[in-house]
Amino acid sequence: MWPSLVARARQQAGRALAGAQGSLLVLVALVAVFALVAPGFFTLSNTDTLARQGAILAIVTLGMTLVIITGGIDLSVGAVVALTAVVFGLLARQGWPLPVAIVAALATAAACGFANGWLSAYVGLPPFVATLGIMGVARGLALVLADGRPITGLDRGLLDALNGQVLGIPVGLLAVVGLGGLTHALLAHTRWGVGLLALGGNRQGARLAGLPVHRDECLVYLYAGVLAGIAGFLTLGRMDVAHPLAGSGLEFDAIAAAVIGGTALEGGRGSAAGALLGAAFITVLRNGLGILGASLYVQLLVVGLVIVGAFALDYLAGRRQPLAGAA
Amino acid sequence: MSTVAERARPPGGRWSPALVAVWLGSTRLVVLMLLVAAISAYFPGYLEPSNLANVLRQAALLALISYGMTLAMLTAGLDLSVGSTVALASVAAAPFLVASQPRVLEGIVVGLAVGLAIGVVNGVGVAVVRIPPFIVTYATMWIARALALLVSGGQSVYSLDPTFRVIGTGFLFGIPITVLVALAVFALLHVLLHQTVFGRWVYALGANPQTAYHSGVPVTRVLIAVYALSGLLSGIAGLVYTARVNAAEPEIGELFPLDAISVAVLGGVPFTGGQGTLLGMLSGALIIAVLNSGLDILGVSAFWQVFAKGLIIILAVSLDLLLRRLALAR
Repeated sequence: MWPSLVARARQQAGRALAGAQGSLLVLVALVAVFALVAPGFFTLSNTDTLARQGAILAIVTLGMTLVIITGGIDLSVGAVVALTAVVFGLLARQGWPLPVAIVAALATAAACGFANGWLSAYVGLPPFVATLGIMGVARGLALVLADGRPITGLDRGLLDALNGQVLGIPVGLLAVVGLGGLTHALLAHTRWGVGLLALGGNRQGARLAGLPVHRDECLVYLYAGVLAGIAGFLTLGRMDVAHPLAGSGLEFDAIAAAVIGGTALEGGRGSAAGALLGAAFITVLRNGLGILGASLYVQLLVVGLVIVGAFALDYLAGRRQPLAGAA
Repeated sequence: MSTVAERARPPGGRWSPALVAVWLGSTRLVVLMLLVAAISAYFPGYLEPSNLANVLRQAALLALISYGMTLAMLTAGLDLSVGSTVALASVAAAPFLVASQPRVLEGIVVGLAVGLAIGVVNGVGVAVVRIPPFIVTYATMWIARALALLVSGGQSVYSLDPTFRVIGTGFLFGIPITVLVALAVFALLHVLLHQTVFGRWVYALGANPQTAYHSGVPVTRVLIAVYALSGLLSGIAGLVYTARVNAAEPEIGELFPLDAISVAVLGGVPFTGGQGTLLGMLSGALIIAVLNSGLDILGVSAFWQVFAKGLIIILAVSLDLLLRRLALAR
């Protein structure tokens, strides 16, 4: 039983990456084109910018990917990003010691994640409804706590640390690599991760095989919440303030990034590497277009077209399965 | 996700589909009546005709943006381009609708054609190119928004033709015309879904695409038709919104996809496809409209409203779930 489950999980992770080959090809092409036509795209300072822009999306996408693997969805991540930043900003401003404020903010994010998980796994709400509700609760709390305004005057040392580098590598990028490795290890090498793939592929089967599906599902939302909290700290570094509207619309970008990275929305298939690939895809596209001086409208248009293009390429390469067999 | 019916089925198996159907309809009605009772207890004028007309018009507008989403969800898909298509249809039709030089008929045709075009693109993407609905409609969401901003040059158009505005502001037999439009669309779609072969195909496809395919359902054509219809409905919604607010703004509707999904899910339409009805969806639209008006009447601040809406969505669906379980447990 168990070895076959593990083998199946590995196979599904491989299939997720195979499904993202078109995206990988387009990403490589994008980088090449931008390197040629966008002056300053392929420079060290822009690599730093890319890392900082991409880190927030990448970390949120890692959590989203695990949630989608279970067949669920998490609409609350953007709001949790904002709430974490605001809670930290308020506590820090009131003179709480930095470590305590950090832990309290992360605990808030974890609480939101747990609420998502409890409502979805134990109460039985559709994850879309549960996380839509928590999205409203978290965003509302962030707005009320901050009174709708950005919180300024944050600790300079912390902001510099978040913007800084370790051994020449931006902190955001380090966080992405670390959390990406952690997520991969959890997914491929722990009972919990393999259980997630199993329960996403066939919930009834996973339950009958004796897996604690409710607990596994609840924990996945908790994990996504904590990752959103960490991303919330990175927004502090980027914006220099704790903004109650930070992360608006981030959930859609993260879902799109996960799917571009080969995660199947119906559950049961996905990988950490795919999540990072998808996040890199969207980040590179936005950044390159920005450097080219494209207006926001044109950026939106191109992002839409390229996403469709990546999938159309898969189709032309004949990798898309016929519709009737895709279920 | 197992259905409530499966989950709540007692070991003895003493439930009938009829009982379930009756309760699925009425539990939401209970939630709705509790809400209305609570609000009118606080604000006695709530049920007066003028206020009721406003609430109903709000519900009608919500319903108009949710029909297309519901159709897509019945096929186990979704349509995130709803809001952007509303905006694009609105700004594309606006030049024909200005009060100085009204060509209302042409404006309406343009608005509907634009909606249909986006819908066909979605349908071809989903059915022919076989891109997941989430992705193709997410992409057209950005594309339609960009086109709306480009077409309008980022400018809003105000002061529209009074004849056209009747759709959004007028009354017929004391009922807001917006409500009549929403009901007419409902009637047409209801007949389409429940009295025609096409409707059977939609439900069959949503329940199990493979079985549907092997049973001879023209899967590709049905999917294209569903998304095209969804686009057309967004066009209608765009025209009604334009008439209602007396302006065509390229930035409206950012939250429409989420609103529409909330309405559909609250109305008992699951993401898994093949289940749920438009009648259920209408009850979802009523619940959200009543909720919004209630929060306004209670003078809840904008920030707390965001919080309250989140909490109430969770509570309303939980209560619905609880009532259904109680009904099934008997």
